[in-house]
Amino acid sequence: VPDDIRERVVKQYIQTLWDDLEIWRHQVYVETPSFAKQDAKPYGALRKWAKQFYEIPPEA
Amino acid sequence: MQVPFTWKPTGWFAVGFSAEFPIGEVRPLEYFGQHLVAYRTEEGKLNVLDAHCLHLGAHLGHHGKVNGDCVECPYHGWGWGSDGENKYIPYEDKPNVSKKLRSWPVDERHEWVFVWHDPKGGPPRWELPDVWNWPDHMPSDQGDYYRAYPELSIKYEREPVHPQISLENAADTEHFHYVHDATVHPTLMEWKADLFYESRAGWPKRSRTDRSDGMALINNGLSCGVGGSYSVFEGNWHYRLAFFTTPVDDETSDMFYSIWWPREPGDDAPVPSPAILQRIRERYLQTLSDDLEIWRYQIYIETPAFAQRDARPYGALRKWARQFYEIEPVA
Repeated sequence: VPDDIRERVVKQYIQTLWDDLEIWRHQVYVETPSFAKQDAKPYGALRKWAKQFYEIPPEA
Repeated sequence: MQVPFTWKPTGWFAVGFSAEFPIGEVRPLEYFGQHLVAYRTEEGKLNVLDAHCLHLGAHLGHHGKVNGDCVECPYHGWGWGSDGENKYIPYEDKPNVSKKLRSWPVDERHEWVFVWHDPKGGPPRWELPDVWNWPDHMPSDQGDYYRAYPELSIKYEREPVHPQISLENAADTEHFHYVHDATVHPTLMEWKADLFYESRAGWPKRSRTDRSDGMALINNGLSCGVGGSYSVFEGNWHYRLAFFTTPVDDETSDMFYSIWWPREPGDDAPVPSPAILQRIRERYLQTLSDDLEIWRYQIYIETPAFAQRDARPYGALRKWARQFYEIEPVA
């Protein structure tokens, strides 16, 4: 990969994960979020869908 | 450190020095096992809220921004006001006011920041005394003293010490000789336990020919709850100090210590001369690290073998302190 392209990809795309991580590292999981109106349905659907993959209860 | 009472006492607790919270800045804090965010508005008002955004739980203290009276979440830009309410969602026309963040009562005085902590979330039940207005017979003015921060202040973080331990220093005069190498034994002259615990301890005049019961130096002590205390010295020296201990979680505490040294008449410098500054730091600020070398390894004894002179003041102090432990300790 040419250097200038690599640099641009890192800056524009890979960097975004580091930005997210700066949030996630200090985040807590909110079971009943105060949603924005536009968020409530897709978030709800996603969380419901994900449940199928958690087949055992968490450790206490 | 195992103690028979909670690490979540009620009262006013120090969380920092005012200068550590500049205008327009946001900082994470952790006290009483809870994550908090502190931010100072352009108007200079310092606010402390629970740290995690009620939308998806991002920590407002890491990369959050001040916007007017609000702290703005770094995740989706939601703004939370100083009362803990959601004030705006940038991409919707109405805020979501279904839930509120806890807003912690803040009191800033004599270069320090205090928050009110009540494990049940209630509002302040008393006012924190001020280091300048106490004791009644020695009122003073901040202008008569050099600043305490940063030169004459110190903070120890996450020490394995419960506030009760540093509190009990107020009843303990004998340790000065052994821990702090004091050459004269101070005497506890009076104490009174009410909403606050007040005491007067004196260092007798050194001269053996002086047969009066005069004291060379008196320490007026005021414990403002279990969170910490003020000392105002009277006699040969006239300095004031504040020493507070704030639980971070159920095992450790942060400790804050400041000394206000009386200003030389006519001197308008913010701090004493380098030579005096160094002497105060070595002789007085340093004493806390001597205490810590004991406290770090100490255990709490519920029924101590007391020296005769200690039994009453210690007993009174321990009984008085119970009012601030309103919830059961964690098993």
